[in-house]
Amino acid sequence: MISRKWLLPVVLMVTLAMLLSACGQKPATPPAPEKPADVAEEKKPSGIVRVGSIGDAQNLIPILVTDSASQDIVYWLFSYLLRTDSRTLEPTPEIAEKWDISSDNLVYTFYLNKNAKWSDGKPITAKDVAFTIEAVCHPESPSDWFSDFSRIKGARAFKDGKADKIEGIKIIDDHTIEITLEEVYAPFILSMAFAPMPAHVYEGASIKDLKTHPQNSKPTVTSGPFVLEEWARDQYIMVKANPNFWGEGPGLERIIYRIIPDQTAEVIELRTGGLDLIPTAVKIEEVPELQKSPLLEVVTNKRLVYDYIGFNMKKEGPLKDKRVRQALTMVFDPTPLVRDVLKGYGVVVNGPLPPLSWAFDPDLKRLQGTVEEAKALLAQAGYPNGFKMTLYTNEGNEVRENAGLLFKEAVAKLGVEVEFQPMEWGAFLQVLMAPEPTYDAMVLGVGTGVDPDLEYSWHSKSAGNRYGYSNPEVDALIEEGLRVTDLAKRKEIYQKAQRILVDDAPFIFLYVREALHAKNKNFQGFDPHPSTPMYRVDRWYRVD
Amino acid sequence: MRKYLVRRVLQAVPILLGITLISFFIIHLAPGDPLAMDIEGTKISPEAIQIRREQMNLDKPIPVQYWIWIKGLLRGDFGWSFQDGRPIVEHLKERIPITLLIMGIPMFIAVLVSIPLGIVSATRQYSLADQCATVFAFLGISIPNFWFGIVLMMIFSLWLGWLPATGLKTIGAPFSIADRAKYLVMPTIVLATGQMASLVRYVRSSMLEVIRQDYVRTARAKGVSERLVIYKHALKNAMIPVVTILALMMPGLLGGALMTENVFALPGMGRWTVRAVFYRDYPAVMASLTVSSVMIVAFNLIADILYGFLDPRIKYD
Repeated sequence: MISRKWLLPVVLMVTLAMLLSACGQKPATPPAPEKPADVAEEKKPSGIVRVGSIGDAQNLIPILVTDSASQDIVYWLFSYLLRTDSRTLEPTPEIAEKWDISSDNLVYTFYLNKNAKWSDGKPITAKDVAFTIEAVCHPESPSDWFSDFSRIKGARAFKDGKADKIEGIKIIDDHTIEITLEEVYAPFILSMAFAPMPAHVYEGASIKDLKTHPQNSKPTVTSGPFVLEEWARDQYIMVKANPNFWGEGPGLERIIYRIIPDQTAEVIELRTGGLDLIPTAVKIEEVPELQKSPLLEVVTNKRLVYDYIGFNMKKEGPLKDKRVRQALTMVFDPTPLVRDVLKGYGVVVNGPLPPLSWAFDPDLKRLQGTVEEAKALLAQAGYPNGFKMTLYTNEGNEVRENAGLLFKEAVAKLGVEVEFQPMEWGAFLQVLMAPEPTYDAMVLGVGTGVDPDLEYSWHSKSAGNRYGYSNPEVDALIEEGLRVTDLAKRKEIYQKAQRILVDDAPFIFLYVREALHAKNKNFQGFDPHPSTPMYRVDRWYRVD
Repeated sequence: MRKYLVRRVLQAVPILLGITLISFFIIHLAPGDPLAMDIEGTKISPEAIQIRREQMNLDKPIPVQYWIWIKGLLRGDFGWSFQDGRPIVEHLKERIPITLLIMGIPMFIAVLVSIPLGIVSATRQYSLADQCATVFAFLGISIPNFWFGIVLMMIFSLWLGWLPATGLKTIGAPFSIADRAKYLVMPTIVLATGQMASLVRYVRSSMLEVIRQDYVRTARAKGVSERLVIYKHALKNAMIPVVTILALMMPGLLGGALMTENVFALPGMGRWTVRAVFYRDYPAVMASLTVSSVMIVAFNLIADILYGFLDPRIKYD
């Protein structure tokens, strides 16, 4: 009987499918490229790589980028003044072939590569670099990057409309630019790891309206290994080898960024050859199945972001007391999260810097203690019988949700009752960003960047210090760390700050998740950087 | 009739205004702040946030914001998206044709298949065909679209390799109907199955009711052939509730289907609307709601007019 019940629907579906699929089943093959005239014969770019993404890009003007999809495409389309190396994380030359730093560490002189040119053939000059910084610092700029350049002499005055140019930017000649800082700022060189914009394209354009400038949706003048060919919103972004690329390569003829919101469908596409790379966000439970395939491989890399449970110290209550935070930290062990939820694709962090950071202290221990010791601390703080608290996180992040549940269970031993709730992202952000936050704790993640600078998250006067942490000693160390340029000395300062931060227990530091990428084995040259999988795409190539 | 039409169209104006007004306030009641989405993860200063807030009109009271929005709408301007700063009209121009395509074909197939199937089901009640149709209908209604989509994808893309799993066309290939068809097969099956399933049930029950009416018995008694009884006398009357259901389905032509669009990576209105809600992109959400309300009001009117054709006893004056 069962087979009869199924008969009609199955027959219907199969007939319909066969009828329509009979039209042709060849794998996707984009048209043959026109041969770029000035590319050497032996190194002609060839092959296509298709990259999956769950979301579409929004802005393609580099200084407007805030989301990861847009960032991915910008890395394909633009050359950077300098970059950090994927392994050493040291700044490496790109458009700037070298730079000098004056002995007082205030004046940076960048020498641009004379061969560097835009895709329209015009040279990339000091004027482009200056224009880009000015566009970011413009009083009406839609860019969110001002903090990167705020240390340049006169940038603040320019931003406030009190000056018509930035005093600290001096164009020496077409290929030399000198930047003077207001005061010594140790990580400044990393602020210069940006993609210059072509000033000649924006002549007469209103900086305020950059978002609606045609270059934001269809950049025609770019500087990277690839140029934009087609952008079909929410479907794909196709780029092709830049015939005027000033560097070496690229190895590929085209890259296609396919927007596939469903992760299961994305994996099916990878397995059927519709995708060659799923960057960063492969689900852990998919890994064993993907590894079985002879055509595919899983690549991982460490990252500079970690998750934590952050305590709201802006609100009056038990969590303002360091002893309470210490007690909660003591009884919570994140090891099961890494072992059972992340299946080993991650590592526990004990302090505010991830292991990849050069200032990371491998000897740093997390606060440890028995339940009795923790109870004693709570009693000292005046909560011998515990208290009630709220804990939120964003919905859909399985590891964070597990961290919340594990925390709830761990602190129950101290009589602390946790109301844990994962929230929809928009509602969550509103709770998180309220000027006078009412939550008690959050499970969330934070990125540290290549430099160990702790100012944004931990300085008592920083806008990024959303949990209200304040310790004058840490403030002083952070300020010192930004003024000292000697690496060994800086490291010492940050190690001291890390120890204080662990002892103050503003966060329960949890884990760094590895980035999990799945790719076709025929696609080679993939070298993910801790902060982006789109590193050196000019070196990507195919072997089939 | 003309008088009736004019009156109905005039009535639609306050209805649509009311819908937009209520939706506008409800959206703003939902927790969340579009700006928070924009600036999360960036090192932007509080002053810059304030400037941004003013640019988005978010600093103004909600009634003022509504007034600004409705003034724009009357000029045909839906505003600009908070997500990428492009005009909403541009978004709609990209989305609407695609949505019509991915929703229209299954709807057409559903109507074409389910009306005859429903009639057969009703006239041969409890026959094998009826049983099959019933099982099919229940399966169609109860299988979730995203699951059905993934199953089809595993069969036709992963195992058989006949069809591309996701997307709308072969990227870079010249336009051809065969190419488009290949990509639309699976989403069409998924969407048509769901729609057919409920339509078949409606046609069946409505038909069953009509064939038990006195006038059908009279027609049979005076010796009219069974075929004529069903298709001439019964069908027209049975269509009245079906037209109502169809009118309710039609706004989906522009509303899209979120789950199916997601699974097959189709850039339709469903995905766009849900993402707009997620990002608190108020102008986009309002545009989507306005388009849907216009469709609903319009198709209700069309259904009312069709009733008059189907049943001469219904007169409008």
